Amino acid sequence: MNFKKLFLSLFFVLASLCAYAEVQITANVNKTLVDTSEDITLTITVKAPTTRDLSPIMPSLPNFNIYASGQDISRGMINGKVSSVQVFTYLLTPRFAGKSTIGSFTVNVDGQTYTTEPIEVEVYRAGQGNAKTSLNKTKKPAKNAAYTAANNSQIVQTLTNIAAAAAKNAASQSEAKAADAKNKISQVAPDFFMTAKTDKTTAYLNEQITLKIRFYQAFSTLGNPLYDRPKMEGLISEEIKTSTGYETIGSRQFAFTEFDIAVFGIVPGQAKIGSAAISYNVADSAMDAFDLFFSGRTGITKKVETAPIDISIRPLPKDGKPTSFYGAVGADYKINAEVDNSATQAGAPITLTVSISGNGNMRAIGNLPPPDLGGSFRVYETTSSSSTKIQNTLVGGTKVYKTIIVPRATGKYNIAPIEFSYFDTNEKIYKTIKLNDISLEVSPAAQETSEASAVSFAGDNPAQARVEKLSDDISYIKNGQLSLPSKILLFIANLGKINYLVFFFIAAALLFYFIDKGSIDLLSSRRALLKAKKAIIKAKELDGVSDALEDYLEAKLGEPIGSKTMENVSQKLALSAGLSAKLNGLWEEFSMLKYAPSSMVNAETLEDSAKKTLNLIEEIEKEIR
Amino acid sequence: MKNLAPLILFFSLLFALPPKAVAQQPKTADAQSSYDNGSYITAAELYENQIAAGDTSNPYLYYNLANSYFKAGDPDKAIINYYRAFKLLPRDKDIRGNLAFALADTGQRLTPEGVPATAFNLYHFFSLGELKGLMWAGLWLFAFALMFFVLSDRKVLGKKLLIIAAILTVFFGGWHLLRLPSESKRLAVVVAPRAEVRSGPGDSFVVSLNVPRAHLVSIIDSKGDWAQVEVNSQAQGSGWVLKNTIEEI
Repeated sequence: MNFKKLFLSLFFVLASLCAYAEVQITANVNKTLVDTSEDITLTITVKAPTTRDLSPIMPSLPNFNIYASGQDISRGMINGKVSSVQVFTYLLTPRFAGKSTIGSFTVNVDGQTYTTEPIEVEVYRAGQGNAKTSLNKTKKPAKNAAYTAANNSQIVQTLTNIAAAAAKNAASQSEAKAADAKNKISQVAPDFFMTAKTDKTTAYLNEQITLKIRFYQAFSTLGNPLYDRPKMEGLISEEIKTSTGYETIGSRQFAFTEFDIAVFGIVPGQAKIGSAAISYNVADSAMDAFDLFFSGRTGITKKVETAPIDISIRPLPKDGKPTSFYGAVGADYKINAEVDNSATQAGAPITLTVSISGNGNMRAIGNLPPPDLGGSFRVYETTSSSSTKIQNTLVGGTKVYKTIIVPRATGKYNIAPIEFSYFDTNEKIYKTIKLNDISLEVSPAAQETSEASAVSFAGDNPAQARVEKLSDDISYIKNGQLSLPSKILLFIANLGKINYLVFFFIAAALLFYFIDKGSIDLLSSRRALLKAKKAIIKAKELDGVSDALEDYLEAKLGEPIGSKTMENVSQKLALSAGLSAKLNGLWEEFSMLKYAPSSMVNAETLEDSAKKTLNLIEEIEKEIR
Repeated sequence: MKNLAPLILFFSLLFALPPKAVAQQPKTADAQSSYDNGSYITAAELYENQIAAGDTSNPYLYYNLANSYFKAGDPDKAIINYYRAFKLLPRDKDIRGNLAFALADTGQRLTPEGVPATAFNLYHFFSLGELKGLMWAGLWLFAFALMFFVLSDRKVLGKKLLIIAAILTVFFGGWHLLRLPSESKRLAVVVAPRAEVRSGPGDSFVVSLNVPRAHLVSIIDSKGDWAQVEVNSQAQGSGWVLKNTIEEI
């Protein structure tokens, strides 16, 4: 029984550890039914037993313009193991009306790939309000963006600076005061408290809100206080700085630690900065300094926290939103574009670098479209990197886009002016910055140069000018079908076993052939009879009739008659004496009529001879069958 | 042989005719319009739908689909579909040209090194299906010529027909048999960013080669989620890759 309990306990401990160690990635959108003028906020939450950056790999999303809106990482420890909850936010602007799928995002952790479920989104054209209403009735409500820091995880941060400040303060206090404080240990709360305030409670999407959290302490704590960051709902945060100082409140002097945090709204609507909390240890009333020093006891744990703050996030104005707006919100943006080599050779890669700097959340700026260079360049995928710079309490920085382009042909080219727009939070308007063209001169590649120089004397003479190949590209699409002969051939090829019938026909033909050639005279005999009859009927002279008889007899004999007499023929065909006599008589009649005067051979004679011949053939056929 | 020359000329001209122009179906028109407007993904979806609807014998649908993928920056899908079109109609110079272009773009060749392009094009004038059809058509012609020779009195004509049919059958049958082994290979294209070629079908085996996206491999065998492949590039070799990293043509 005890073993069972032990086993079950171990099982549950292991199961909970395994569950914790598991990597989880989820994707949520704030709405699944939008019009083409609205944005969708997509939140990817990655929970993993690691604190390294786990930026997800995006699927191809051709139906949306994508703007990375921010990244928030909460690191913590559970059961002595590091963990993190990383939240990546993207703003998706639909490009087309219709149903679209946001494909699976993936992260790789220790060689394992984890993916999110695809999300179906329906986009309708702006202005189709009825469609939205009716569709809303049938669709499930979209999940709200689950943007919370790691719930229940104890985010631990050692506040060494707090301890140091408090120690300084404590050193200046008298021992009597410390003893008094010890006596009032049950009423310690007023000696420690926290405040949280923001510079504004209403802001535009991605506009910076500065949050200041202060932890006041009248005397030092035992050990290091533990700080729990405020949970953000609909917001992302970026730490600006931590500072310490003193402040006199009433008649008491407090040491304080201030955490300055930049907060950005990522979803229009109501957002919330949750409570920040600090846990600290103080000596309990039963302990004296000796106990504290030698017993190693840590005293009793207390906790103070701030009140939550509601923030209202306004959407960016739709009116006047330029097409070159990629999500930048803030002030004092600047843009610069340059190529590393403006005079290059065909086929040699050039790097086009576009840098955007200013005050605002750089990670909210989406990818710039690739430069429009026509077909004369091969343009590779743009890579981007961003760096953060904090001036006073303003978060800013630089985002750099690098695109490799390879000229395919020689000539002079201008990279079209690059435009970039941002929403100025000071003036509450969109502003557009436009750069000048970038000129490129592409000379022939090394092997082409010598060829070109060889014909350079051609000059401008049109007669000697040659066709210059500017670029290579695939051929255009075409419509058509396979030609009829091809279709017939494929039909024959696909006849399958029916095709094997051909061998039957060949075998049959060969059989007929050998029968025809062999001693079995069925066909040739029959054919000789038909042929003779045909020739006799068609004969216009007596010679035609006699020739037909001769051919018939040769066919029956299988050899030419030559000098054979009719007696020989009759013998070879084994004819009866009567029939042999008839054959002899008829043959002699033909011989006689052949040399008779023409007045004796008339139509009647011909008809009579033909009849006699036909009768004779019929009789021979009957006899030799 | 004098009688055979016009026949061969006739056959060549018959197959060299331009493709039969057809009235565009609405779906084709939509796809072409999307392609013209630069909406290559939409065009690709529309062509995919047409093929999925059963129009699998039209090489131009695969060609247009491949063009859409190529323009959308998806070279692996482009090569897969150019190859499908090439298998159906290898003598079309646009299909052949675009396949060669897409392969060259990823550092591969259509014409094997050392083989003159003209010889390669002649060798691939007919598709394998057409060669099979020609072989059977030759055999049928031989059978009928034999019947004619046996049954008819026009022995001279029968004999000529018999000789022509025999020559055609041997010629196209031989051509077909010559191409059969190489074209029966199960070609596939790497569709993942890279395919790790391992020495055995499992993660525990060492990676011997990395084949980048859009490169051709030949499938030799398969086992579970793994396929044994031969790499068709300069770095020759064979091994096992995960099936989901490649797509068979």
